Amino acid sequence: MIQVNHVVKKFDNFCALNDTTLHVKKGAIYGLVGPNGAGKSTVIRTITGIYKPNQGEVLIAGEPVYENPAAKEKFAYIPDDMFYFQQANVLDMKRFYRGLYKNFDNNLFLKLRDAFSNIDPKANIRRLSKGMQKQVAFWLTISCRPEILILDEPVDGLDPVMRRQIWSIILSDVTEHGTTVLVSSHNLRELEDVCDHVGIMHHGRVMVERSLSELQGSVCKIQVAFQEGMPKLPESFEVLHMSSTGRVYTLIVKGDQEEAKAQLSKMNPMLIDVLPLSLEEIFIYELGGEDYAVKDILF
Amino acid sequence: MRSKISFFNGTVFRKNLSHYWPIWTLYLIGLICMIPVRIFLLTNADPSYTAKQLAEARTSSYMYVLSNSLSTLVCFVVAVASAMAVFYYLYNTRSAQAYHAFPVRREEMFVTNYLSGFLFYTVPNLLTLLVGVFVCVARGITSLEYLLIWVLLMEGMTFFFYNMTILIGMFTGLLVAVPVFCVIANCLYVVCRYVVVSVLGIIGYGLSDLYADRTISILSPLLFLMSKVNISTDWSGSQADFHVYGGRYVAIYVVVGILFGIAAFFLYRKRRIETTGDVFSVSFFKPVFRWGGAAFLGMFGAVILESVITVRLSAAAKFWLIVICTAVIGLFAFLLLDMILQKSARVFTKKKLLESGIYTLAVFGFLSCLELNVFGLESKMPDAADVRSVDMQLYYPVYETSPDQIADVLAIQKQIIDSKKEFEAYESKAEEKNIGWVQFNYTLMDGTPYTRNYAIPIGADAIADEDSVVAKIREKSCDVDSFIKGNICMNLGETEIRSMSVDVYDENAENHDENIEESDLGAVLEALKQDVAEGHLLYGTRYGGNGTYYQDPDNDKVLFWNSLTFNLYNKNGVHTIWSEKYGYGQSESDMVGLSFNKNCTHLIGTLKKLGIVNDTDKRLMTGAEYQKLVDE
Repeated sequence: MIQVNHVVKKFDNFCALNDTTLHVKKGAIYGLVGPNGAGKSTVIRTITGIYKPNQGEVLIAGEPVYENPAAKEKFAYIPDDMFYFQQANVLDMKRFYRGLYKNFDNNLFLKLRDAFSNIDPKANIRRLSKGMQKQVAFWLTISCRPEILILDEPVDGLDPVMRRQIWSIILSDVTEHGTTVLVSSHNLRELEDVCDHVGIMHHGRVMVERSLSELQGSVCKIQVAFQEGMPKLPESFEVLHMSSTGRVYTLIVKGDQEEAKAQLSKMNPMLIDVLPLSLEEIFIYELGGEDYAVKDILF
Repeated sequence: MRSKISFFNGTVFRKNLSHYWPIWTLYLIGLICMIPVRIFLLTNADPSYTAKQLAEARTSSYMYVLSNSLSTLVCFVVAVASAMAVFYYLYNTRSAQAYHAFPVRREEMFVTNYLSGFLFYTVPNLLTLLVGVFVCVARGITSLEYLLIWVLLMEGMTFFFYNMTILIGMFTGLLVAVPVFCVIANCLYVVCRYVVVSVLGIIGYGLSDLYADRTISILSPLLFLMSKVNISTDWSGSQADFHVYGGRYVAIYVVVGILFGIAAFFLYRKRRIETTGDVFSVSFFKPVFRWGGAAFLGMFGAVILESVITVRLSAAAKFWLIVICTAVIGLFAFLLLDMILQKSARVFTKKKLLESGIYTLAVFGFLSCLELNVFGLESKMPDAADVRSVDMQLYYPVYETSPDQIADVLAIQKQIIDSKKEFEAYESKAEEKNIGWVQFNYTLMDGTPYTRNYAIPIGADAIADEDSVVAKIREKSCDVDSFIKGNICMNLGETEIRSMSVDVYDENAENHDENIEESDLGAVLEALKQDVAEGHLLYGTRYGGNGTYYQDPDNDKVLFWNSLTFNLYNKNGVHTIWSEKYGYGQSESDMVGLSFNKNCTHLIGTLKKLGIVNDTDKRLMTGAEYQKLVDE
């Protein structure tokens, strides 16, 4: 649904996107993570046609997005900081969105009014709290009936209750309409519960792009204890990290967990146990050797 | 599949009209008050008038309102406000990004916004015309064409400024920079020219005062239109005659405005949204701003500093003062402007320091070239064949048009240029009373002006030497024909002296005008010519440089406060030196006043003989005599 192919974006002498490639399948909830300054917002602004890439191409449903209203009709974009006209209320903004998006569903807008019952549609939006402004953004955006939702830090700066509410709105829209979602965050934990695909950005490149299940199946944590200490492991055994407490060793192993367990079992361990790995740990161990601070995307 | 290109978006258009209603509403109210309401109020019927008088009075008031309300500044303000409002979204990161993520093409956005802003001022103009027509018809005013012209002039000027503002707006990403750049762009040429000419005047020999007599350039539209566009009433004939000036210039600016609008359209298509918030959205302007701004501020600071220094400096001292000030002030300005561009104080990079060093060297190089006359400005003189006229002024203006006389003036100027070192040295050490400022104003065949100013020795020794510059200029100044052309009018032969008068003082120091009988005009003029020929008018008329007269300490005792006034008439236009120098139109009638002094024995004798002046109630009076009389 979204294809970013070898995109380069430079701001004067600074290269914000360096041969960035990213693919979001139809119906996927794609989480784009990375530390501050990784290029998440830049790639999103390129995807939304705000920025013109210096090189490469950005396609939405197979069409170039830059200066192409047909492609832009397919998505709705919610930036971190929404733009509303001075003095505008929800109804004013609705009229504006309705005029710009052909698929704007007025009935849906009225229906969603119950979901956003805490917002007075005639109140000046700029006087609402940040959380309520965000809710207005979702109200308007979902009413546009987009095929794709592009969200840049959608819950950044909101309290936990509001975060949960926003995510609930997003997920219910995905469930009901099969909307494709591209969401950026610098907080991996935020995305772990909702995304089915994840891409990690750093220094303007997407370093890893996989489905969550793929990632979770590719690395496992095994606790094992031997009578005579740790024996020599076979060369095909790819250990990403190993630590020990007394005779108990904890191994982070890359590859299929059943196969790894079978191989270790052949060495007659006193104890062997496979433990679940959080997404956070996968990224730490998978990418720990890379030249960037993984901790920045975890906390 | 690419969508079909649309050039208008109703949603954005409606949003613009509803969102920025204060602009067009205020403008409309202002115009309605300024034109129809004022016409209605000022053309109220006076029962004592005859029908003809009433019609004339109403037309006169109507023209007064139109003339009084034609404001270039209002056009400028409305245009800038309209353009800034409709393109506001380009200068705010949130709105710029939001708008460019919407499914709307840039062409569509531009045209829609452009039309919205255009209507902000066009609709009020048209409504004013409509209401104005109703009021005029109700008041019986028939010259409606002037109301239409007024609207067209306002519309044309606003249209130009509107397009100019949009174009300028495409070069910046900062909202506050738009009006600032608009003002700068409108004054850039005039101000830069002033600074460069001032520096030339300080460093170059003979190049001072170049700015004084020039008209404002078309490259400074706001100032130019302010000075050129007006509706005026000429009361000199039997009935009021109305004139519209500057329509041709407005038409030219409208064409330029269209080009600006097209350029802005293409620039918007290429605009990088990431430059929102930057001083310049086009990279090319950053070094221009840094270098140009530094050079301008450096030279401007140097000129100001030089003007406040009261000590008389030698030419070399002036040169070094300008070089050091331009380099130092410019260097600070260079770094400051870079801080504005970078939005950071961290500009002291190796590259920037190197660049600023190059700037300093460039300043030194450029100013040295001026000092050493590398560009040949000091020695440049027009060919006699290329000169249409010249006025030379050490005392009063001496106007020459014949090739021989022009050649003589050029020879005098050449002698001055050849004496540069000698005269510069003299100027730095001589007493002020012995230094005279001579100005040469040439008008070339194609109308181009060419001006030079020089300080020359005019002490008693110089005057006694018949080969000296001052002696030659004095000789030229005593030429009656040149005097008349330079001080009364250039076409006196075909211009009628309708009357002459002298303002005289009575015993109580009260002054009044004494008219000279028509039959005596010739005798007075003849007496004046004799005094000119004998050099009597040279006293008290010495040019002091920078458009002023030298204040001789003895002026009070010799120079009369009275003046001899000529009322001139020529149906083809009275051509005076001032109409030539300052570009005034030649009107059918003109008035010229001449100062004279106690040395003018022929003129005084004739005036006494004719009874125009006496020693009792029609006195000629110097400043000292006036003061003495008042004290008594």
